[in-house]
Amino acid sequence: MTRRYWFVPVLLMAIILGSCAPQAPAPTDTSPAPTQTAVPTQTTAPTQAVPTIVPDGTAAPTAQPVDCQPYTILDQVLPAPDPNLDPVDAEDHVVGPSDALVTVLEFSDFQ
Amino acid sequence: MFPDEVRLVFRQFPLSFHDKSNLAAQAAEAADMQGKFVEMKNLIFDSSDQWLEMSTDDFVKWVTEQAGPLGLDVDKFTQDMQSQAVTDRIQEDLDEGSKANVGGTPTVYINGSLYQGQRSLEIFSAIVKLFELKGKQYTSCPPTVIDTGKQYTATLKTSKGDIVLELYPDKAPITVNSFVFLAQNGWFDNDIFTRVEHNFVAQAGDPLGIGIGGPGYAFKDEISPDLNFDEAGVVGMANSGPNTNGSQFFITFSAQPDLDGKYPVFGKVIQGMDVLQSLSERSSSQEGPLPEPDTIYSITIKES
Repeated sequence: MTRRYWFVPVLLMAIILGSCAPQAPAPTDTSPAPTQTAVPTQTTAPTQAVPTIVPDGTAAPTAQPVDCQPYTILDQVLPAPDPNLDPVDAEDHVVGPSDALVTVLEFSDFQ
Repeated sequence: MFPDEVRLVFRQFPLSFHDKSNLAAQAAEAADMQGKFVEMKNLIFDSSDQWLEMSTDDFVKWVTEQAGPLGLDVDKFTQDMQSQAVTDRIQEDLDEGSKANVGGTPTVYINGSLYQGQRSLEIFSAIVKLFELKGKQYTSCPPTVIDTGKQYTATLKTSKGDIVLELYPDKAPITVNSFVFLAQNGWFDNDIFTRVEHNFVAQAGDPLGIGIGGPGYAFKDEISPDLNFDEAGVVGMANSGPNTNGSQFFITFSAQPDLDGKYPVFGKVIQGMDVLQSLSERSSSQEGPLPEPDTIYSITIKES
């Protein structure tokens, strides 16, 4: 294990903060960008590489805690599956095994 | 990188205000009719600097010129580009996108969930690893496995030797219970020290080895006013904010008063400080390749 993964915290923070990558604009795209509240300083604190923020509407440990509760970072990064998204079918352009652990589906425009 | 773990799915969503988007989609679909979708898609994307400023007529001419070198029957490709079948195929994707309220491109879903973060290999690799970890994580909090009236030690068998911790079940019962539970269930076996900064802390407990993994649950901060990071060898829980403690823990190399009150203290090193000191430095400030990490082969709990 020689790869440097220290950037992952920052990148994961970027995940949670929402998209910053350029996206072709469309008139109907009005989703608001999450805002940043606090950023841990990785160089001085033994953080777990995830910021102290979560997207709106997600359940996360709070300042008024229960002793323990189920919690995964993935649940903070990804919302629930979109019921309006059609499942992958034979008509789709697919690369990779059908039983893959992770399916990345992209609606894309060439230009 | 993940040949078996990842499936990529491409759906067309040509935006109407891009003059060549639909033509490019038609070209990819026409190539698909000869089994060359991916090749044409990649070529169009990779060559965008060549055609972005072209007129639509010039683009059609350019993309047709690419068909031959890709091994396509150029006449068939040309006919298919204009075919109703291709038009219908693209419309089908557009309809699916509209149904899902896709508003711009690219719009990415991961396992059916809308993903709005940055798109980079590092990020997607981390997400894949988190999905891999999900299969190992617990779906509920650990049962009570300790007796707070007893004493506990934990022996970390590492690649540099043994480090023995005294745990504080009376001061941090939830934390110690989780640590003992995870240790007894092999969670830390073959774990690595993801971070070793000799002027700060050594951190471990993420089975992914990248500092983002947890056991599937989080427990509250157990902060005792009389337990502080006031010397080397203090053991605390790493977290990502209040009450997000999981499985990652750290051991101080020196007094770290800035950490007091933010990270639960649940033990201290009672043997093996020399082993701790011998761990290979792995710091974000290091330049060049990091050294091989030190491994925790296992953590053995002793109750008395």
